[in-house]
Amino acid sequence: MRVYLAKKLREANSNNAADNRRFLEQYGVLMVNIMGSPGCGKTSLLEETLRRLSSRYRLAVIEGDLYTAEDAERLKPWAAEIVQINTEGGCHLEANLIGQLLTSDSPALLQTEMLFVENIGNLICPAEFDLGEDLRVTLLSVTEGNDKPRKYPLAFKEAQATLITKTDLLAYVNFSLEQAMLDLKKLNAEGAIFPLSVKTGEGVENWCHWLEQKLAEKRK
Amino acid sequence: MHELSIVSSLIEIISKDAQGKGLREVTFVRLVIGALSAASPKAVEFALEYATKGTILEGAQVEIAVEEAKSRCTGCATLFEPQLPFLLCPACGKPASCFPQGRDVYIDYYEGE
Repeated sequence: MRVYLAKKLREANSNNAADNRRFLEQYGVLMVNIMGSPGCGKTSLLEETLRRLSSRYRLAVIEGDLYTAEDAERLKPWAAEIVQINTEGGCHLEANLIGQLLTSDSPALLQTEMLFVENIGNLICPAEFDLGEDLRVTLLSVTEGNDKPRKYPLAFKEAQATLITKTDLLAYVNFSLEQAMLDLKKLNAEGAIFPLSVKTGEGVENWCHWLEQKLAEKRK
Repeated sequence: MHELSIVSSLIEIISKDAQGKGLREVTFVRLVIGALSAASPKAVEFALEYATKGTILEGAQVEIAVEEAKSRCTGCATLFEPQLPFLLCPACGKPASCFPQGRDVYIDYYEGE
């Protein structure tokens, strides 16, 4: 007996992501999915972003890591609510993991204005799994080299913003900011690009302002 | 290795469907992997070998077909095969954002008895 299914294997994830999106819409929470290689500065970026925005907004973080709760500890001082997910080897987060946390039983995450999800450090797999986010943000640190958008195009192609991080190190590494910007524009004409350094603070204001604008648009 | 979650989902979907139809074993699966799906056929094969053990799919032959990607330009409506890394429309140069084919992994059909 032959059975034709024509069934997409990521459909379950897409359905869960759509559920998350509807739920967050009801509560008016802006969800931001932060992706990038290990060591590109995702946690440092969150630390600085939360520090700057926490006096004006209620912020929450879902922290995805393979192991340890070290990153959640780092962010604790600034977040109204923080949840650690350990995937124990899993290379990406999936929508059902987020969905389990977004229930009316745990209202703390929903009584916030921005919910940041720090995805697993990886430029391949996280890009393939929609979590139900409003904004997908990919980090590219200057120490990784400006060839990364060409080597991992899908991670950058569907992002609403790319953050070029650690720009304070530009003088010491072989990274062409101009080439990176050209390639990113070519891959993703509509995506915003923010070069920034959380160490010097340069450019961080623009990124925070963009987030505030996106929140205002969502809550209008 | 997100191929493992793709394979887990394949086993779940087929097992449920086959049990619903009263089948005792699944003997053949045809799986289609899009060229732009970021799933590696080799890694899918590897994951299948281990993950199907003890399931209704144990021992099933799996054929994997790679499907070329197609994009419909959102600027000028040209249908084209997007080329990595930039996936640009050959007619107007706009980056591809709509993929009617080649971005997904799906089960075409399975056979069982």
